[in-house]
Amino acid sequence: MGAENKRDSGVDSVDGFTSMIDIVFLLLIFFILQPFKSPEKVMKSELPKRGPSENTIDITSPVRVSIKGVDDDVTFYVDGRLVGSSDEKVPAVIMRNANYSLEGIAIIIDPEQKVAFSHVISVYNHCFGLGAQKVSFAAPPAGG
Amino acid sequence: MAKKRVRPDPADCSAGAGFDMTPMIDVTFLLIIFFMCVTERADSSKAKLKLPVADKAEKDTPIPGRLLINVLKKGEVEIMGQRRSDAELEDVLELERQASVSDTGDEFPDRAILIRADEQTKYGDVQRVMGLCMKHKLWRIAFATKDPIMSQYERH
Repeated sequence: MGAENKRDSGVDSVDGFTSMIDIVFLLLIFFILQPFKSPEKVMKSELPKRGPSENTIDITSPVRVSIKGVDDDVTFYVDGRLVGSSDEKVPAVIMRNANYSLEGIAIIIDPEQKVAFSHVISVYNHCFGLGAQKVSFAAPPAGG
Repeated sequence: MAKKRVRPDPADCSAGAGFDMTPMIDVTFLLIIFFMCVTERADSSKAKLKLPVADKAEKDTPIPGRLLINVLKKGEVEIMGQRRSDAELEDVLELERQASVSDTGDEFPDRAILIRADEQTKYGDVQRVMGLCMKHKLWRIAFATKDPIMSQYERH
């Protein structure tokens, strides 16, 4: 009789564990899937408050990053000087041109119309990485 | 000694067999997870795009009623699943302008327009949208990007 009671209690505890393990697994699935729910991030920007044909920023000597080319076949320039076909060296050249301090220095990104958007965002991302306070896009051509 | 067969009491029967809630809770949780994933993918305001990668981007905290402009690979503009011409986009932006200014004339600081452009979209097409935003005095914009880790996951 006593043995039966022991066996019964053992069965009960196993049953209790089953539901707990179920819920633990479900919570595990939930938290694993959570990062996949909203993978999108944003990069905020403020457009120049002047007319499209005027200058963009009230800064005397901004650093201008130009991207020239078509689609993914692009070359990068910083203040008119060729950097290369990859944007890896762009942050270093920006810092050099800004005398290693971006305090009060604006960066203007000036891509050509046919450049793939990924390159523009890549340069914008580099500027964020440098901690630049004022990053702007060159004003679109008048009437464009 | 012969065992006496006892007819079970209906009240005892319900208590003994019990109604096991575990599988029901399991199924409910799984359905919740399933619908959470499906609704995220079936968001009609977001066109299927390959977003550019940026590791320094911020986490997106969408506010209700935010205008979301999709710029497709070939430069077409799509809002809420519908293609829009530049004239139609201007109408939408004008409405957004009215919604983004309070009665006192102040702009709502958090109300940025989200531009989702494909990584292969030509910059000129994105610039055209930015120009129209400027024309309607909507200065705050944000570009949708994708985390590099997520991007690698999708490629595999």
